Amino acid sequence: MKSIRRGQFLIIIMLLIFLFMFGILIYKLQHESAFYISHAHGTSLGKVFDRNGDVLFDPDATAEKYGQDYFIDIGNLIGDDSRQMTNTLVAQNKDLLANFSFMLGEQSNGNASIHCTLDHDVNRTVYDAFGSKNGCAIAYNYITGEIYICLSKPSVNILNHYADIDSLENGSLLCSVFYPTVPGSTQKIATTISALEHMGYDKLMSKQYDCTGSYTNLSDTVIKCHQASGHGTQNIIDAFANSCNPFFAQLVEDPDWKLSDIEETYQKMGFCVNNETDQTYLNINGISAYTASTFLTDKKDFNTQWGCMGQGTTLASPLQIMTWQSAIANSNGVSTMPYLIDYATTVSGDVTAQAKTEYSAQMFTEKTALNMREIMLQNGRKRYSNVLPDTDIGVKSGTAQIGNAKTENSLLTGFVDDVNFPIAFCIMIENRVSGEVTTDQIASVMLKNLKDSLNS
Amino acid sequence: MKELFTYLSRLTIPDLVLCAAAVVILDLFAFAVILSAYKESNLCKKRWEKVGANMELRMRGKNAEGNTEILHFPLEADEILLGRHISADIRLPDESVSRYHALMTVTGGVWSITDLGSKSGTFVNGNRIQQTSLQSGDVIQFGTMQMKFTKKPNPQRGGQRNV
Amino acid sequence: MFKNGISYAGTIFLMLLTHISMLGIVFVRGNYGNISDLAILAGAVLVMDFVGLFVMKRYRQMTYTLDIMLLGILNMSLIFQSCFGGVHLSIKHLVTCIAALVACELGFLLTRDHEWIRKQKKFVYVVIGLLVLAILFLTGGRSMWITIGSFSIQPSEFIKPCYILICAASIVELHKKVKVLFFHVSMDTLFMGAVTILIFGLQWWCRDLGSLPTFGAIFVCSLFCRLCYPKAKINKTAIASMCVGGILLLMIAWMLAPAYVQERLHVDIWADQYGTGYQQCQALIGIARGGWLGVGAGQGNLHKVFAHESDIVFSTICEEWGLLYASLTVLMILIMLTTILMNPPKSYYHATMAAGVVAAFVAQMALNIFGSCNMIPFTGVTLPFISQGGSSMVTCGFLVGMLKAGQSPLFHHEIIEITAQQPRRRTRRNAT
Repeated sequence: MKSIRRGQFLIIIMLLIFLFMFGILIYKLQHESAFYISHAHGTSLGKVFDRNGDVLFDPDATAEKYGQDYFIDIGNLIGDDSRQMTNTLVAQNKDLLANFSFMLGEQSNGNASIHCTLDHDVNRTVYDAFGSKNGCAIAYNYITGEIYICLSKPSVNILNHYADIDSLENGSLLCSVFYPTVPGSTQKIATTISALEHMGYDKLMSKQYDCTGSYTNLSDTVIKCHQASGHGTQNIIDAFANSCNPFFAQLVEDPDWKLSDIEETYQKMGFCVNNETDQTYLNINGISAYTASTFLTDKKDFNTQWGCMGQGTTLASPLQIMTWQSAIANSNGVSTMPYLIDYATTVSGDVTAQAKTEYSAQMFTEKTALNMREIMLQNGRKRYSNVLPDTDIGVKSGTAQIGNAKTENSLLTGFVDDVNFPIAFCIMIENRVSGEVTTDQIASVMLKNLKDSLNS
Repeated sequence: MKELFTYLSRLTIPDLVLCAAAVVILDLFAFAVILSAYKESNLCKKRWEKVGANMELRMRGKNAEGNTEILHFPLEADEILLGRHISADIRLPDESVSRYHALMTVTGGVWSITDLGSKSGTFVNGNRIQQTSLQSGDVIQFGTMQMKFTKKPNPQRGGQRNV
Repeated sequence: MFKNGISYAGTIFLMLLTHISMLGIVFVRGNYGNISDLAILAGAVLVMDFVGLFVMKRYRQMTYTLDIMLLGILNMSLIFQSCFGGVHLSIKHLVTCIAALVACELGFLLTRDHEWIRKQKKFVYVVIGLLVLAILFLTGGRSMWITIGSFSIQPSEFIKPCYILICAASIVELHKKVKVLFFHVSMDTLFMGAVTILIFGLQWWCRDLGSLPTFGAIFVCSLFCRLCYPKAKINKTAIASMCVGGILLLMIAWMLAPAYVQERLHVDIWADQYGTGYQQCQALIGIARGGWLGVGAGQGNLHKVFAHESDIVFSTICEEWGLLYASLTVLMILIMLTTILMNPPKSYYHATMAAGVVAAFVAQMALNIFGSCNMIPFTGVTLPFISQGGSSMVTCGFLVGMLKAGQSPLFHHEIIEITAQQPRRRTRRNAT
């Protein structure tokens, strides 16, 4: 009879395991049901609002209701529920938008909504400021992480429901902010950080190299400077401001640091060096942003030297370039992670998914951040003082050669040195030729309008 | 909580009443089943007394407090393992008893005992046995331990009459 | 009616009320074109109830709870199955339900006497052998279905009760150990091991990987029971080595598993919502749409999905009847299994059999429910009693019969005979 009792014990255990799993199942169904239903056809979705209550997505949007190109600036960022674009806010957060709860079922007049951190008015102004040019711009609060501006041109007008999909420009369906591009000289920020980190400020300041317009490096290849007459003898501050290529080539070759030092700092900053790490850098409310990457082989190598100057194999997304600015601007070496969703409301109106500010791991020391910040601010004071009157900004411009130097992208990244207006940004104009709109003009439009909007 | 109220207020009355009624009825059914299963378990216990011929093993030994008295071992299943081992159904904590000494089984109201290859052997009324059927009053010996196979002292219903 | 002195009137009344309340829900919330459809269904359910109870009355058993529960659950299942996508009596399911009831009695009669079954054990081996041969030669190569006309039979389902029976019946033979090489084993254990390997190999061969875990659960249960008998103590070393062996076996199985199984084990169903994940996605969406109280009988969308009445039947019921009612139905099945705890068997043969039956049911329910809800890989097994499918229903009925045998191994009149027999027991049969 003891054996019988053991058999019963076995039965009890089996039943308990089943019941336990059944409990988990019911819990899971309760909590994930909105996600399930958001994958069904014809689900009733709520709206997406910006920080001022402007509508960014409305499942019933029409041209009559909003105006023909009302959504054009955020078409490939916010997206829609058509499944055409997958890496967009709506496509990735349909469960938050579904007017559904397990208890209430589907409610076509429910209160489900997403409240974004974006400022649609300013976003649109910046979008228009690009004029005929394509490009992208992103700006966020480097203390809290709220993304205020995020746009990518060319974009798609979701009100056309993809009827014009064949005539859309290449890249219209992707928000290029999240995808790696050639960073150009903005990469010199990362290289300078690495030098500061491993040489120290004083030693780096003592380094002086000559630029005669071109430099023949140790492997007998020629690094040309964008200024054919050369910059003469400079220290890091001048060279950073001049974006002098021969200086940085010689800096990379300097015997006082090793290639592994550069590699280490790059990796800490999120670079995928020599194909070693994961490809997704950051998940911004479901939207995947891809990680920067580069190949470093040898300090004397032509390609490695250009890689440290943001050409060749180096790629970085504007979003990632921008988040590095927060680590510099906050003078702590820690990036503030950007986010798009401030909060969401459920079908019954309760607030959920409240945003929390998150931070990256320590990328470089506070001292390095402080020195880097000073170098960038000096550059800003010297050349970009008209971008935002009465406020210092730290910046670095860049020109990225795309496709065998046939076209050049113009980049500008930086931060505002003002605790009441803590903005870090990155702007890129594709295929810019001289005489057209410049990145600092767009930055100026963006920062001025954003300041007005946030203060009002 | 708020959601629950919204939920209840939106349901139509027939829906709510019907579903609630169906759920309650199903619950009651489940409850009734459990209840009748319990009743049956009592019934089966009584029935088992008939099948097991209302027998038990009796021996003089020490109880939990250490006093010597007559101990009763009920035979509650159709296979009873006797031995020294802690997992035996009837445990005889004596060195002369093998760990798995003997097995008692019942078929059609007749109990029989089988020796499981014990070292000291199993004896019924003094004869060493391998397998034998038992009858009331038999004395079974395992090693130095002696037990009496007998009717329960206070039999319920009928059992006593048969003796 | 019931000669055991217990009144089952309340239980029967509540069972009938359960069916009537379900029919009431169908009447108010259901999707039926013509009221006569519902009337036919109601008629069928109630007639089956009454006929079932009438037949039950003829049997002078000791316990009736399991029969009443089985009848209740089968009729609930008939109502569920008849309402998918619109109310219409599912004749096929009605027939299989009746077959299940018959199989239950059959299982009960065949397995209640362990002395008898021990003598007939060789026939069980023969049956298993025949079933295996049927799978090998009649299914048409690496399949698990025998198709005869419009009927499909799954022989591997029938192996389950036979296997449980063998596990239980051979357990007493553990006393008769012989030495083979270095081990003391009983011949029955060897036979059982051979049968186990044969069944597992066969399942593997015909890619019926859905049934493998069920057999695995039965096997583990019987192995556990074996370790406990007659050395009733749970041998810790043995259990530890069993666990290690099991894990190793699983790892080997994982390495050898065909690619499509491996794929299925870590597939993101939502990434391929209209491909391989279609059934599960639709099932989950259906559950979400149903909510707690469901959308109403016959009003759901899942009936358009393949295997809505078998593999993802839990979701279909959830959609139409609500998660609450579907969970309670599952709970009813569990309660049916727990009757064996409340009214424990008096014989180790029956206890082992009960453990095997519970293992088979629990494994199959877990595979079906959790599989269709994407908690574990989706294997496509049936939900006991609820899913449509003749083989599965008959097997489940048979298994409940085995459960019943544990609770009520003797008829009323047999006990009276035993009581009357006692005075005649006088001769001693020494067999020294």
